Amino acid sequence: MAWELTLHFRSELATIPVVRRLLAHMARMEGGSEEVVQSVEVAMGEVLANAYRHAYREGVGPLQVEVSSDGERLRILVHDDGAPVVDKPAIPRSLPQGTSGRGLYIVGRLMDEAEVINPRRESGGTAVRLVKSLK
Amino acid sequence: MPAPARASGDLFSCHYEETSQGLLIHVSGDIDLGNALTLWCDLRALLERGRPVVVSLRGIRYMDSSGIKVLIEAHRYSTRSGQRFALAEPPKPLRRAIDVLELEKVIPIYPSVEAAVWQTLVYSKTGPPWPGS
Repeated sequence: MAWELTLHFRSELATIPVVRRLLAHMARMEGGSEEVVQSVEVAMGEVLANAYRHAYREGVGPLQVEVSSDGERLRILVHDDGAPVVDKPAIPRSLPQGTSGRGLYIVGRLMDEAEVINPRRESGGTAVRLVKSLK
Repeated sequence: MPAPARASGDLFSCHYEETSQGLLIHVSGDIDLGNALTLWCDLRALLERGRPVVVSLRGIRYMDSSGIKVLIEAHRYSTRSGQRFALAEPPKPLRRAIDVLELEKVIPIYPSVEAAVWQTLVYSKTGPPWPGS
């Protein structure tokens, strides 16, 4: 049965492990293999860490995660209300040479679809959209 | 041999065994942005002893890119001071991230702790030079 839900929380160091594990659990409940479950947890951890680092000046601010499943795919949208990113960071498609960008590169390699998209709201913010096949 | 153990934070632990040849460090649990710095402090304190090191990753459940960055830093630190350094037995989820980041081109990584200990702590004393050295 298809479903969708939204999580609201603050981008604190303590919420990152809770939310990434929740999403991994959702992938498991939807029939994802251990590889799928682990990939979802890794990708979520990286995206949330990125939001923690870049979205808000003090590191802490509101985050929303929209999740939906149709039994075939898990679709995830992580968005913040932080300052709009002028130079929109992309998901690197090749291995970054420096130390930055490695987390998002892993996300791109583990997910079926991953992109930093235009803010959902006019007030700003950054959003990351992920899709992972459950089969 | 009793292993000095110490829990760091809620999610992970770092303890070690000291042998006549070097240190075998066991890191386990979850490593992310929230405790990567603690891991780095733990590892650096051990690296400062100047001995060959094997880090066993067998007990890692989850490690993000902040944790991987710490492993890269630890390897760099060791190389600069001429110490041998290797990683051992990364579990599957971490193995995937290691492969994606092509970490094996930079750090020696062994599929088993035994092989890593043999190559890094034992064999290296009498055998051929460290690969890439």
